[in-house]
Amino acid sequence: MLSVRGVTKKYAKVLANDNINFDVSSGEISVLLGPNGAGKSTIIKCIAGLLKYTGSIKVNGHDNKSIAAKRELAYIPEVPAPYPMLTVWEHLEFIARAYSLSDWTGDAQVLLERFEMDDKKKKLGSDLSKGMQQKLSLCCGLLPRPRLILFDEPMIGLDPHAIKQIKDIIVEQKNAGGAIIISTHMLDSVAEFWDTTHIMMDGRIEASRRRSDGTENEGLEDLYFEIVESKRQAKRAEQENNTNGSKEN
Amino acid sequence: MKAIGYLIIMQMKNRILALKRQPAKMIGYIIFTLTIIGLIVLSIVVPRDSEDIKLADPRIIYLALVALGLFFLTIYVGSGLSTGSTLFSMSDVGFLFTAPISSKKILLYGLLSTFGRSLLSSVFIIYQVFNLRFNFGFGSSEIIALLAAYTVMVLIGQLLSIAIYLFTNGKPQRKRLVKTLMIIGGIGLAIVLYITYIQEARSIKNALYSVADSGWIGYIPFGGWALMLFKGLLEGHVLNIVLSTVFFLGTGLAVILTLASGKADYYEDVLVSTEYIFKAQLAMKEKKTTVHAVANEKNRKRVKEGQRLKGTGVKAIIQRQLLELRRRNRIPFINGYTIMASLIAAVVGAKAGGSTGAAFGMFGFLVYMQYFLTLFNPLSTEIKSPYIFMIPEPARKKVLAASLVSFIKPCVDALIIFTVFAVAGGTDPLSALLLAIGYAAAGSIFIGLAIINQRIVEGQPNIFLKAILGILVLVFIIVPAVVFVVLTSMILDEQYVFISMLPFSLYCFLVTGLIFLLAGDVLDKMELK
Repeated sequence: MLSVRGVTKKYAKVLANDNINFDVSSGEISVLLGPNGAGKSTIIKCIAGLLKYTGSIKVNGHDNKSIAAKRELAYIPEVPAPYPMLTVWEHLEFIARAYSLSDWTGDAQVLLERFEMDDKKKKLGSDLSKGMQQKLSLCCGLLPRPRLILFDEPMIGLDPHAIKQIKDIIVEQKNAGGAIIISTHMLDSVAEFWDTTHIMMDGRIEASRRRSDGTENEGLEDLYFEIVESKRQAKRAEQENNTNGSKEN
Repeated sequence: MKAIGYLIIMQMKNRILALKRQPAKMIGYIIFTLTIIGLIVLSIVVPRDSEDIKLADPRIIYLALVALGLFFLTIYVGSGLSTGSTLFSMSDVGFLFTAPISSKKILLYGLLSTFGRSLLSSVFIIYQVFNLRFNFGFGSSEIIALLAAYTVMVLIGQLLSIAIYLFTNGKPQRKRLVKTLMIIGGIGLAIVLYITYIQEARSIKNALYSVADSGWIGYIPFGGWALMLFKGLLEGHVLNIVLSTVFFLGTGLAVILTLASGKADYYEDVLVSTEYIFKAQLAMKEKKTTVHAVANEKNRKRVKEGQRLKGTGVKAIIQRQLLELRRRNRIPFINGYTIMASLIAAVVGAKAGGSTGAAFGMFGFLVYMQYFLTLFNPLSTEIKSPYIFMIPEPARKKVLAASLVSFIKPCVDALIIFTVFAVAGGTDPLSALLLAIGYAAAGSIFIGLAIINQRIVEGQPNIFLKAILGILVLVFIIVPAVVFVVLTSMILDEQYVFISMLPFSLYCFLVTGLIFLLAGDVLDKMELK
């Protein structure tokens, strides 16, 4: 469903993503893990078609910036930003029009009920709390029934009910053959359903694991710290060597 | 286009309906609209040959248009060099950019919304209809010409900003090139202005009018082009209309074609700016200052070796503020305001010489400016921050320490500004020193006011009550100081009049001390919000 090949993204002199390669198949939940500034959000934005990059990103065989790719793709950003002057229902209607959906009202109603937003239909975007804005962003993302969903820190700021709903929806989407990418710091939140994980540091994928390869027994948290800490130690040792080397010179 | 059309119509509809919940805003809009209609009707009713119509020099309008255009040029080039401009909102990024809608249609939507906003911002010209009619004899055609020139200037300005961002982003050499071109242009303009000033018998007014009325000014980007378009429409000069339209449209089309040529790649070019504006708006909503919220993004500072914190207890607060100050300004305590106020002092000093009235006038103006600067200085934020509550030191000591750096600033400013004033105007050093002490004393009382406001004003839930109380406290505290100045200056001879600054300063320092004594425990009494 998604193929990322040799993606490199530079912001002036900062290398945010360095030769990133991975695939996500239909019915797979792929998790991007890594410390702050590792490049997770950047690769998500590249896949969503918001950034320029070198390399190739294909969504179901289509170039990720093409209209065909966008029909299959949903992006749930970390910071929700609804239109302040559109109501909740009008946001959904706008999405339905933008994606040329027919018979969407039933789906929209179900989504609003799942996220306990059905009584907020007439509220303007500017009147919603941060959590409500995030829920609206999720409803808008899910309405077109995308086949690839990009979640950037989806559970931040949500109440326990909404977190449970997101988890259920993620599993439902997977079972229906959807591909899902989640970028998160909250390891516990994805521990129960991840299929593949890519651990990122300094713009690179340092390690990739599949649950089916037996990593499940190891635990996501142990795996994360094992890889991140060993890389950090290696980096520190390299820096010390460089410092010693320059002192000797 | 169905979705974009729906988006535009629904937003407009809801914006109007939302006014039902904001009656004050609705009344404001109604009054504003009625005033504009009234002004237009009045200007139509009064015939062009009426005796009431004065024919002021149209070069005033030419000059205003050129000045506005040059101001916009500087602003848009500046934003192009830093974050670029944007035609979109953060909501557009989340909902439109990722939707299966052609990027060219999205670009058209961005252009149309920006054009609408530019048109709305030009309403202030309609507000001047009455003035333009009665003082310049302008009719509807002249006003429409002015509107057209202004709107085109603002719209193309946004595009120019994007173009400069595209050209310079991540390329320091190109940034330097644009900056150098702007500086050369500025210096060139200043030289021409100076030569004209000499030619016009050293009259600044005549020199400015002469430059604004010259033919060559029309070739200066933005201000000049706008003037060429306006004069062309006014005089029916086809070549001027065509030339200026070509300049504006050429710039605009070049940017639009560049944006539209690379699939959807302009998304990234506007993303930085859109995110920057979104963060600033979010910060304003959360009642932080924009500067604090976005400073990290825009002005990343390098941490120099050897810059570190010192001291323990309340000294750590002072040292932290000093460290931040060193990182914020190249020379601690000296910023843009210091330079601007010193320039004002130099001009007033050179023009008015030893005039007591001019000196007091300038003093009053600078103190007034200082009041607003103190309102926005970091002290008010500092005493509201959680960390200061937690430091295990007495409240009064903490407040005093947190205020100390803020107090040094007006002292340094006073020293520089009034030294410049004395040197430029030949004022005697003692008078300048007395004014400087008065300025620093006013600064101290404003800092005291920031503290006292936390006790009296901040607890008020109503924003209007807050504002009224704030002004009342200011008046109550500062009026006696002003009375002291007036009374003592009435008693003293002209040559000793500056001594009246002494009771003023003494009063300010004493009241500041009293405020710290009585309200210095503000941290123990107030609630963290």
